[in-house]
Amino acid sequence: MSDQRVLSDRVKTAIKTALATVLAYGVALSMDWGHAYWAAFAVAFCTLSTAGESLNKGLLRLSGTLLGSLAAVTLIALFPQDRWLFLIGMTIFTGFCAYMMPGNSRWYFWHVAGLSVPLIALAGGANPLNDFQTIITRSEETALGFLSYSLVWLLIWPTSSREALEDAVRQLVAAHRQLAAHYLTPTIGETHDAGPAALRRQTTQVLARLGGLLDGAEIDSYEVWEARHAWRSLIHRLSQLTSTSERWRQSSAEVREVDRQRLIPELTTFASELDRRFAEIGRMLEGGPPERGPISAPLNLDDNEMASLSPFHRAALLLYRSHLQEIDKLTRDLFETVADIRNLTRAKIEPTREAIPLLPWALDPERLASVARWFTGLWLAWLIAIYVPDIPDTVEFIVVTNSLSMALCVMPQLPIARTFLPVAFGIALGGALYILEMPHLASFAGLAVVIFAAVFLICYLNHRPTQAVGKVAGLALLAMVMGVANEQEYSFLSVINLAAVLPLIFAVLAVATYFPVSFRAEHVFLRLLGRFFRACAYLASSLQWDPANPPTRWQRLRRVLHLGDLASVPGKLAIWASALPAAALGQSTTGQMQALVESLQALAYRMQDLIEIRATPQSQVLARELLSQVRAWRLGLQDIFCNLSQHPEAADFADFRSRLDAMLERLEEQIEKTVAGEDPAGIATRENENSIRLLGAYRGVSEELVNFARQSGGIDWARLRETRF
Amino acid sequence: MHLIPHELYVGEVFFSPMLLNAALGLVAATITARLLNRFRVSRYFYYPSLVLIALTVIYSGLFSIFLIPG
Repeated sequence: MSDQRVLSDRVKTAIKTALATVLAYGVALSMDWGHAYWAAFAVAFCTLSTAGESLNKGLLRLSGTLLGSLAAVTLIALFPQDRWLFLIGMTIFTGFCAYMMPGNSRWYFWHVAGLSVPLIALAGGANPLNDFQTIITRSEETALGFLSYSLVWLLIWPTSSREALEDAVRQLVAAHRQLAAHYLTPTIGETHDAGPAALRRQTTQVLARLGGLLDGAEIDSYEVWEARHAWRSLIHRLSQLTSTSERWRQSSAEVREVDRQRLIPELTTFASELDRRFAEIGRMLEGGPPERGPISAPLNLDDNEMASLSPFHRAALLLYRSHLQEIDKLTRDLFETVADIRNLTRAKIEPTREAIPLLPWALDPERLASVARWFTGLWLAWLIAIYVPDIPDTVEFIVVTNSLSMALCVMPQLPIARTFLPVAFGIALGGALYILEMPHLASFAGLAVVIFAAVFLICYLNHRPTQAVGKVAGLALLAMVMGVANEQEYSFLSVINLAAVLPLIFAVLAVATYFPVSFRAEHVFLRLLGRFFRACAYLASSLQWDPANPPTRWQRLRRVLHLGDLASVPGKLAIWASALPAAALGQSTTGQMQALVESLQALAYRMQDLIEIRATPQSQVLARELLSQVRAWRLGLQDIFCNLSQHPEAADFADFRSRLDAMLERLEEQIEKTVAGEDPAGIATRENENSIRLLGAYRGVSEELVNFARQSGGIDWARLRETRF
Repeated sequence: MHLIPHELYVGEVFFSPMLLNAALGLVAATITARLLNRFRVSRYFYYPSLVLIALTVIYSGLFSIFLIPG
């Protein structure tokens, strides 16, 4: 029987981490380097499931250490005798690192750079000459830890990142194939069906992992490195396909009542071509050549049948078809990109990358709030260390507080209390070994067995991805408490001091969680909800902008910021909704919260569609005739959004539904009258089609507002808003 | 009232009674906060986080007067 069957991945990972830690300690002690536990830190913090991911994280740690060291030396040289100027300089540098962390795939580089400055500056002690030695030791130990686990990961049960990446992409393509098949069957848009809901969740989860997997695969696979631009394009297109597929699903609900087969005669051909295209992409990812390339499947509309539809059904069908056309283009591009990756085509595919709007990313209020939280934590620690006498282990107190505060910038939803138990376990285990076991050891062999067993135990107990923080905290505290050195000293007081200072660190972090900006899940959830509706209100007001009269720079700036909010807030709300405690949920369930967030995501997509269509040329005839009604509709939406930004609980399903139905009825009559009075040749112009689509987009936004009101009815808003300890 | 300060000791380790009182005060305040949350009384406080700190101080003070005087 192969060892793959004998040992689970959980055991293998624990063995590899334990072995790498022992190896790092062994080399550090044999070279007589100080702070041997820094090498163990590199192992504890950087080991991930595949070799490539671990190597990537190790390189980020190494380069972050170098940048942090450089900054520390510069600051020490600039302000050798001025404590406050040094602290201000350090705060500016570390603050910049903390600011760069959220929303950045290379956040770990900034984290290590930021935490290295106080660590290096303080670990050197009062004599600045020690600082250079500290920097050298820190860099050596980090490189040693990196080398140790690289060797272990590459030689023992190697797990290729390339295989993991290809598996994930195959899984994603298969999920999209199933989703497309489901949406093109007569049960389109059946949201109660658990199958597509699970598939959608799967696509989101796999997509979130792809960036990290590619970063790792680029390092441990030459083939992936060679085709890295094509791989990045592939991930970008898969991301676009996922969002377009979601928009398509939402738009299909509005055309459920019409006979799509009759209106789009080639729909069946398109469905089979789409299915075949996904199958061919899957085959290429498996390594085989495609049987044939993508063929064209035009989605022409039957004009006679279209004339029989109501204007809003016509608009919904046009939107539905435009999403299908987008999917057609994206799957064609996907096919070509995969063929390029597999060297199955000579055609050069232009690489595309996701263009992240810089301004909304840079001025994101949640990002600035995270930096405020870090700042409060660090400065509280500094002031306590300076002004409160006899605080034990001040270096560890400041360094650990800074490191944890920075880590919270990328995981702001993590409850502080959840890390307390692993930390306490790490101290207890490390303390017991240090006091009871280590004094009896006479050789490195004995020490190696003890370290191996302790590391294995912590890794085995914290094996799930959600327990990663616990694993890292446990291993780090174990290494700190044991403090292994060639000339080992034993001090009961050092264990007690570390144990005493940790509650102080948690107390500081707890204060920073509430002040100056609250990071309680329910507070952040309501804050983000208000921000989302404020963005919707402003963007709805910007629909009145006349193309002939360009907006001011300030108006354009605000629009860009609100567009950024529209795109990013629903994703953040989904994360915070899952972090809401039971006390805040009250009568509502997590499922209801997720449904509420999904309705907001749908509303965001509809708003984006509306803004996009509004920018297209419109029919002058329809615009003139429907001006007052569309204006009333826009003002009504603006009013509702403004109200919801302050009182999301005020969404009244019955009221919204009746108002929307009345508006639709009035507009349909008006459109019929206008069309009846016009020359039929002029009705079929592209401008008229755009105007009908614009009305459809207004309706889409209104329908999603009605849906939000329906979901909102099930939420226990009183409990969500209620103050509690 | 004893004017001379005294310490508690466990084995050979001496520590201030205030440390134990503060720890007990924090535990008692946490339990009180849990109970206030459980019975939804906390909604009547304007800023519960400050109330928790106040409760900790009050409990610690009471313990240092009545339970383990320093």
